[in-house]
Amino acid sequence: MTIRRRRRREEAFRALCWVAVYLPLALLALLLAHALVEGLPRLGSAFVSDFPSASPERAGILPAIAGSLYVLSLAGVIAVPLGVGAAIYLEEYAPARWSHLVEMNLAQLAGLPSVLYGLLGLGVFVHVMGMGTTAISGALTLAMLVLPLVITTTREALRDVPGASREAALALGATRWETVRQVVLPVAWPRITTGVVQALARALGETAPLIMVGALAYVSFLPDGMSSPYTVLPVQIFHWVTRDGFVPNAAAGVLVLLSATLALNVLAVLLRQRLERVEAERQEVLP
Amino acid sequence: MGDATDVAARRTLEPISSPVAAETPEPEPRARHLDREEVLTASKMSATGLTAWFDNLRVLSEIEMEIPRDGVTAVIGPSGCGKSTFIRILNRMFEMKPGARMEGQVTLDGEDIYASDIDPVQLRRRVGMVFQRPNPFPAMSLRDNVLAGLRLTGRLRKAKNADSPAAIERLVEHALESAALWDEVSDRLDAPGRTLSSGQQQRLCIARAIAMEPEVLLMDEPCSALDPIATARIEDLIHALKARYTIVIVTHNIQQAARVSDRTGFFLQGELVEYGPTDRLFTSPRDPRTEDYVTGKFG
Repeated sequence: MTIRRRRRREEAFRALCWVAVYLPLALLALLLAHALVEGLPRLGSAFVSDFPSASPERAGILPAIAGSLYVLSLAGVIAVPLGVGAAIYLEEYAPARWSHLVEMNLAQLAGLPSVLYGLLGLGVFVHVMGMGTTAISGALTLAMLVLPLVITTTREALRDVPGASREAALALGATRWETVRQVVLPVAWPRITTGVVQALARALGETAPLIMVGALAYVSFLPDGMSSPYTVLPVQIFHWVTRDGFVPNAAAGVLVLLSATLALNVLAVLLRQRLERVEAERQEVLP
Repeated sequence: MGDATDVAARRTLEPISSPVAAETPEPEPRARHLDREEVLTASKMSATGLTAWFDNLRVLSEIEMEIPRDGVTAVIGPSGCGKSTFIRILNRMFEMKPGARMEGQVTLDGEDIYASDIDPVQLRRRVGMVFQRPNPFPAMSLRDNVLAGLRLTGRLRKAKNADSPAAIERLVEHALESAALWDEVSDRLDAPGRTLSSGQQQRLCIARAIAMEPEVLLMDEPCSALDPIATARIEDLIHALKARYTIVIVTHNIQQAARVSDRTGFFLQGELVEYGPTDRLFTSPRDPRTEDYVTGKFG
C-alpha cells in the first residue's frame, strides 16, 4: 500500500470519527434550540406556578412539578434503604458465589426496558395490592426501576473502601455491623450519594412506566398524600404534545424537565469531585 | 561446640538458672528437653495439632507451639510459609477469609478459643493485632483513631459516668504514651490520621490496639512498610511493651527477630521446623533447614 493511500485512509477515518461526535451533538443542539424557540415565550413564573387549564395560555405545570418531586422523594425513601441494605448484605455478608449470581441478575434487571417495570407496577401495586393509580403506586414502580442501579453503585462504593480498614476494625473486636456502620459507610457515603442522585435523575425522566400505572393527564391539585392521584413532568409533557395548541406548553415543560435533570446531574458531579479531592489527599500521604 | 552456645543462650534467657549449668555442658537430648521446659513455663497461648487450608491448599501442617506469657515470640520464615496464617488463627481473623478451614486446638489461658461458646468478637478484644501496612482509619482524627476500638464496640457509650471528657483525654494520652507517640502528636490530636508519617501511623495503630487493653498483641510484619529509623523506633517500642503484653511478632527480617524476640519459631512450607530460644536458634540451629535460612542461604 502506498503511503499516499494510507494517508487518505487516515484522513477518511478521522473524518468519520469527527462526524460520529458532532452529528449527535448537532441533533441535540437542534432539539434544544427547538424547545427554546417554542417554549421560551411560554416559560415564565406563571407557567411554573399555575395549574393546568383548557386554554394553553393559562395552563401551568405546577402539579406536575409537585408530583415529580413527591413521587421521586417517595421512590428515593423506598429505594435507598432497600438498595443500600441489599448492597451491604451482598458485599459484606453474602458468600462470594451467591453474591456473584445475584450480581449477574442485577445487571440483567438494570438493562430491562422501563415499560416492563410499568407492567410490574400495574399488576402488583395497582391491582393485586389494590393501591390504585395513586402516588404510592408510582413511587413503588420507580423505586423498583432504580433499585438495581442503587444496589450496583452502592456495591462499587463499598468495594472501594480499603480492606485494611475493615480488618483493622474487626481486629479491634468490632462486629461486622459495627465495622460497616462506623468505618465502611462513612468512607463510602459520598460515592453512594452520588450514585443515588444519578439514579433518581434517571427516574425523573421516566415516562412509560408511570403512564402504565396511571399518572394522569390533567391534575388540578397538588398531591396531598400517598393515595393521592398525581402526574409527573414527563407524563404532563407527553399529554400536551398530543393536544392541539399545547405544543408551546410541552416545549416549556421540556425546558423545566431538562433543567431539573441537569441540576441533579450537576449535584452528582459536584459530590464526586469533592470525594475525589478527599481521595487524592489520602493517597498523597500513604506510602 | 553447639552445646556450649546452647547453654550460654539459655543463661541469657533465664538469669535465674544456676551458673553450674554453664560449667557442665549438657548432652544434646537434654538441651532439647530444656528448650521445651523453658517454653512451657507460664504458657499464654498454645496450638496443638493445628492444620489449616485455603480451599484444598494446605497452608499449615500439625503445628505444635506454646507461646509463653512473658517476652516476645517471633515467627520467621520465607514468604508463603504460613506464618501470617498462623497468627491470624490466634485471633480468629483467619476464618474471615473465604475458603479458610482448620483443624486442631488453639488455647488462650488454657481455654479453647475455637470452642462453640467462644465469640470471636470477644476474643479479638483480648488478642489485639497490628498489621503489615499501617491502617489508621482515614476519615478519623488521631484522637478518634485511638478511641476507635472503644467507640466501635460501644464501650465508651456504656460506661457513661466513668467517661468524663477528662478521663477520655487521659485514656488517649496513656495509649499514645505507651506507643511512644504522645510527644510527637500531643498538639494535633484533631488532625486526621493520614497526616502522620508511615512510622507514626504504625505507632498510632499500636496505640489503637493498646487502648483496648488486650492481653496478647499480635504483630504481622509491623515494620515491612517502614524505613530503618521508623523500624528502630517500633523495635524499641516492642521492648518497652513486652513487660505488659504477650507479644507475637511475625517477620521475614531475621535480624529483626534476633533483635526483638526471646523465642523464635521457624516456619517452612506450613511446618514449624524449629522453635526455641532466639539466641540458640540463631547461633546453633539444630535443623539444617533452619541453619540455611538464618545464614541466608535462601529466603
